Amino acid sequence: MTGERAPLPTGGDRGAVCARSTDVILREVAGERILVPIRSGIADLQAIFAINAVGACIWEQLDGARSLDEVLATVLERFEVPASEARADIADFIEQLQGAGLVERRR
Amino acid sequence: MGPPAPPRQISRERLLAFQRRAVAGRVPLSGSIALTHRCNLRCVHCYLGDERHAATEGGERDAAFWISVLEQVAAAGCLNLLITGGEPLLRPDFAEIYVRAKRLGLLITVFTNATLVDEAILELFADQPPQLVEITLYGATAGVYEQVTGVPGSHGRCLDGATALRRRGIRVGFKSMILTENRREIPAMRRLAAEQGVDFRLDPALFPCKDGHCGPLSHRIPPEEAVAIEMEDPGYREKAAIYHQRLRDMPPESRLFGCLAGLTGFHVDPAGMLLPCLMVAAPAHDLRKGSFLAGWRHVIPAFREQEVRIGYECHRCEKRHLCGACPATVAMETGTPFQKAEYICRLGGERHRIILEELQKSAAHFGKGE
Repeated sequence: MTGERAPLPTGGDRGAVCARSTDVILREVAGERILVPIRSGIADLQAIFAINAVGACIWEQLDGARSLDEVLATVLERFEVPASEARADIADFIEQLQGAGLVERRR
Repeated sequence: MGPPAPPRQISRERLLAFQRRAVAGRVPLSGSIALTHRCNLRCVHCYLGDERHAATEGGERDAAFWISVLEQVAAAGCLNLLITGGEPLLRPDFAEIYVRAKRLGLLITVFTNATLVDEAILELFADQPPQLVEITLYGATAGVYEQVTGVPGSHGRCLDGATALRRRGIRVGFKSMILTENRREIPAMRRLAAEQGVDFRLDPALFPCKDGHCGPLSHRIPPEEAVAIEMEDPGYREKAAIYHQRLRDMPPESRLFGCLAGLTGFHVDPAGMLLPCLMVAAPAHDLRKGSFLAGWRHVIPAFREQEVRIGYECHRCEKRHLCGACPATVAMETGTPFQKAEYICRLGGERHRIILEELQKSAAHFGKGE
């Protein structure tokens, strides 16, 4: 991921498509969901990223083809959360992932 | 279900809880794979002995086997992987195995003598870095180093390899055994590591060869001298004191093995045998004939079930957390895990003596309100 970052998907940008980095692997180990970057040297376990079940669901949907609306639909199917709240949470989460260099916006 | 938690680094408390869950659930969190027992050096003290220069019985396993094993261990919950040998970089398929391990999200440490680090390895590690490359350094000078390794030119190649790795931004550490050959160069080795900005760890505990040959033990230095060398490092002294204070009041275990081997730790040898750790030969499960999970669930637990016997003293000894004695390595030396190894016992006793002196001095200092 190089160059300037594309504008982040907002609550109204339902058609936005984001892709998770193919150089980051989601692992579920001993009840912890962690994102392990392949291309950075990690000094110890405290330098990798942990996410929760909802975050892991969103992460798996960010395949570079699904729109934000499609991601939202999947989250609503799997978790009991109001749609408006979920939309904002998803956008916020993706912003965090982008800030950490773990996802990029495709369109 | 609440909102997705933002990705954040794991706190120390969360890490400890994670490790406790792994132990409670017997998750195979940390494993080692020895791709080969062959080595291009001939270190005088090596516990592998003649295995380094002989064919592995039944042959070494190929890359397809190792990739299958890695996929199985990752699916079972392995996170930390040590790739070791012999010298793992002797394997022409090292990169293929390493890349797959990285793609599975394993956090990798590589043990190597660094003499075979070439441009291909440098590019591989720069592109997909391991957590750590730990390099054995047996001397600060070529004379001493090569007296240990028996291979002319190996010292220069080792340092060149270490330097090249560091310059590519790869995390490197040095380690050494304390031997009769290099005892006087330990301070110089510490300085060399410090100049290069890398950690350096020492170990005086040499073991007999796995085939029972006791040649390596002749390279041990007196335990009191070995501990004096260890204690020249104030960081080591402090850590040992904290470790002892934390564990000294723990009640004795009824089981023979109180470590994590077979609990969250495992080892796979070059022939493809799953073992609780690399220092034991049994129980063993042949991964050519059965899955990792089958071995982990049905074969390896027997290792943890071994209990202490009447008359066994080590599990009650107040110095047991300082001697580094492992029943497996004790058995290699004495023939049985139930008879203490005198040298190891003296190491623990000397460390205990020095640490108690330090703790008493600290207590007296604070007691005087100075």
